[in-house]
Amino acid sequence: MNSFMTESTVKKVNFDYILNEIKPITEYGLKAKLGAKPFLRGQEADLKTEFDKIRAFIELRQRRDIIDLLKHIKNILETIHRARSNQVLDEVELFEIKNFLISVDKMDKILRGISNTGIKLLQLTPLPQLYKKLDPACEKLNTFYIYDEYSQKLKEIRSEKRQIEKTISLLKKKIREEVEGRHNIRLNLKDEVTISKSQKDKADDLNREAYLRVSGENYLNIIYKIKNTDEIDKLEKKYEDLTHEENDEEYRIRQAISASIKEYSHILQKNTETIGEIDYLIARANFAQKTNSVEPEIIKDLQITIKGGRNLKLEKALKEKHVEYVPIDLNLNKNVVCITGANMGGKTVTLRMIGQIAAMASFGMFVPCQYASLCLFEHIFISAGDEQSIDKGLSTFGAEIVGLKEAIKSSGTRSLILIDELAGGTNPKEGYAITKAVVNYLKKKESITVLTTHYDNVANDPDILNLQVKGLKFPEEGGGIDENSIDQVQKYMDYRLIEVKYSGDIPKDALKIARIAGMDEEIIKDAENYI
Amino acid sequence: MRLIETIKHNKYETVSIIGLAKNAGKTMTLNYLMEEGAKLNIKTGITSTGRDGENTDLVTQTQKPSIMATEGMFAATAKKTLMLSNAKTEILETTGISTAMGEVIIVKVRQKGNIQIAGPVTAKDMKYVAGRLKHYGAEVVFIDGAIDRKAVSSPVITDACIIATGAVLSRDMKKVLEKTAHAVECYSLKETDEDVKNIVRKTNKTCIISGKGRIKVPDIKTSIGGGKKISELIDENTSHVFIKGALTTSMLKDLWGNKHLRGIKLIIEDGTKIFADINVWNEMRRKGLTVEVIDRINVLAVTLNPVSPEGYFFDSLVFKENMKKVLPGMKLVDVAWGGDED
Repeated sequence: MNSFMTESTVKKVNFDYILNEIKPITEYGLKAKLGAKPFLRGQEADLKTEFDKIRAFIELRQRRDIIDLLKHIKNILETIHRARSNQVLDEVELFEIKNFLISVDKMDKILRGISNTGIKLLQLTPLPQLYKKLDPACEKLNTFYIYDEYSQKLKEIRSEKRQIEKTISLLKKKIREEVEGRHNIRLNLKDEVTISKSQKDKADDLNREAYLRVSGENYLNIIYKIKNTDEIDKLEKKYEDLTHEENDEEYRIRQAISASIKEYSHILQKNTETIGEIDYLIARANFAQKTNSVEPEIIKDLQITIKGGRNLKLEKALKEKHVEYVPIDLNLNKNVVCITGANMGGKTVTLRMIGQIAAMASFGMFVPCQYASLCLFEHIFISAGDEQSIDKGLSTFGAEIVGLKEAIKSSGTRSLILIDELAGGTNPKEGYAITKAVVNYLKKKESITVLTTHYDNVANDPDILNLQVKGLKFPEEGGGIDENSIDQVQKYMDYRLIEVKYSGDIPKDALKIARIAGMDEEIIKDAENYI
Repeated sequence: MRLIETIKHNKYETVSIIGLAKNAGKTMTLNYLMEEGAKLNIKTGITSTGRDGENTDLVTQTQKPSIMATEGMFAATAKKTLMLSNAKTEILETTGISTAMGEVIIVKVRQKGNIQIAGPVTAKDMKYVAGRLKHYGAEVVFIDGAIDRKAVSSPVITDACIIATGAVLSRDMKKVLEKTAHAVECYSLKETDEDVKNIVRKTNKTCIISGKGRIKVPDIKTSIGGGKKISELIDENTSHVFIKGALTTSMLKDLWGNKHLRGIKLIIEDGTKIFADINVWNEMRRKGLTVEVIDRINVLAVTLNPVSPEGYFFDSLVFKENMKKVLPGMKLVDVAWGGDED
């Protein structure tokens, strides 16, 4: 992303916010999102295809079904990796592969039933041969066990074990009943009985019993426990040996399945990638719907047209404060566009809106506006109040120049350059000179530059498009303002942009705004004397 | 009626087992219930709030019976512990809930054997896992529980609870009886009024409530050591004092110094949050301290283990007879010796 947009630009056009809000369900989807690359100039057709896919998912009746499937898909990449390096997978891993295969199969069935050409491009490869190995009994359940059906040997071992278990249990029961009957005692669940030492006769009696042994003793009591007969000992030994054999056989079976998984690992991996792509497409489709976004028209000419454009992060922030976001229309049809107008007139917001929409379109997302047509860029750059650089020890001006240098460098290839208050932090005379020179330089480039400025005469050039914020509009002169506060400015500000031909001076609304905001009248009056 | 039948009869779907001390016989109780379930064809499920079922107890290094899983029962346990088990299991679900011992896996036992149980940690996950065990067919889910000063105690999230007590608590049987009776008393404390519950749930912090519904929240990080600050805020209008977290001896003493306390109801989350010295507690209760809880714990039975791993043991019958005197009407089962009487 770095060469397309710097980290700082990503933050300032709030593209990081957009990425955070687009939430794929699976880890594959997340991987697709993090690995996404911008579509650059020349890839217009590819981007169109991408938009077709998103639109297909928006319109898809079965979107819910696919989402439900995605929710159950686990990350098997680690397991695939282990199989590839000849590791023997455990039961839980085999369970996960089996479930992955089931999900792929179900999703494939849904996708096949869809005739949309965008979705036809997303192909999964079901692996019935591999599935068979994970469901040898054809139970069609999504559970996993090393089933008896895996081998005759396993079946025989288990059956013999069960037989021995039964025999041991019968033998023990017989001995228990015999001992209980012979001595008139009751053995507990652990086949033990406690006898008080005061019952000496009983103790002597039990000491002589061949089936009992002393398992514990204190000054009061003796505990007797049933002893195994040789026959039981032998059977238990046999049972243990069989368990070892069973474990070996199970290992061999897991080894064979793991080898098959290795064999199909490239297809499994490809399927995870396709699922990731589908997941990320659905996440973008969901987000587009949630934010009332539209598919932008991608054109080849250097131009941006936006109707009703919004910056989603700012819109959300305003909504939380119960303030309405005013969507903006604009048509950037010249290489350099100056936005002029009142303070607090939303100029910076407009820059960030343009940047966000251009970035979202480049990354294959629908854009938050009623209509947009724009071209693809090689770079997007924004310069706007940079706190981070100030932390690094650069002054506002210093940080701006460092950023601008980069933007100028990239202006040779098609770029979108957004500059807020160029040289606003230095003395007006030099500030104006720098701004004018930068504008003169950039207007000859194959890029779109949008800058906001307070300097007169920068837009005084027929090659430059001048857009002006409509500005403050009072219901009646002087009336209607009941309370002097900064909130009142938002109420009376008309944020719309209008194209103006060069008219000499830039409107001076700063004093009016200061007055509405409740600045001391004495100062306002004095300031008016200097104009 | 046998213990497992009592559970079925009362339609309890989740039951937690709480040991009053290490080696009090919690695992023995679980094994007993599993076996009984198998005998009577009741499908059981098991999980735990902490790692359990190791061969030796990590704290006391004593022999500890592992959980004997029988064919057909269900279990939810972390992957690493599952791999250490020798019961053969069918994997039913990987829950996505992770623990220090790996992801919690839900299995069905296909061949009996020992199984190690380490279930989820949070109440939310525990509810989910118990729900899944029921979904797969467990009629009763047992939770090898733990009580916790800070987190949600497992008895609170289950339908009923079984307390395991035993000789290990003290060489002096009288002390064992006293401690057990105290635990049962605490767990069974009366639930407070619905409107007080609502206030407390909303505030979710230690607070002082006045008769008019005014709430004061003292500026303390935990209730431990905060008794004095709470006491300062209590006045003649106070009706309830809610203590979040542990109710300790020092807090009780701090509160008792307040002259208004006698007419006030002390509210705690549940009975497992009482960590006060028994003598101090009893003394205050005698003097009129009223304590109520947000969640009452339904104590279904007390299981007895007359054997201590330190080598001494009580006479099973005497132990049971004496316990009956301090816990009249409570179902008592000696899991080590006789189990339920037929």
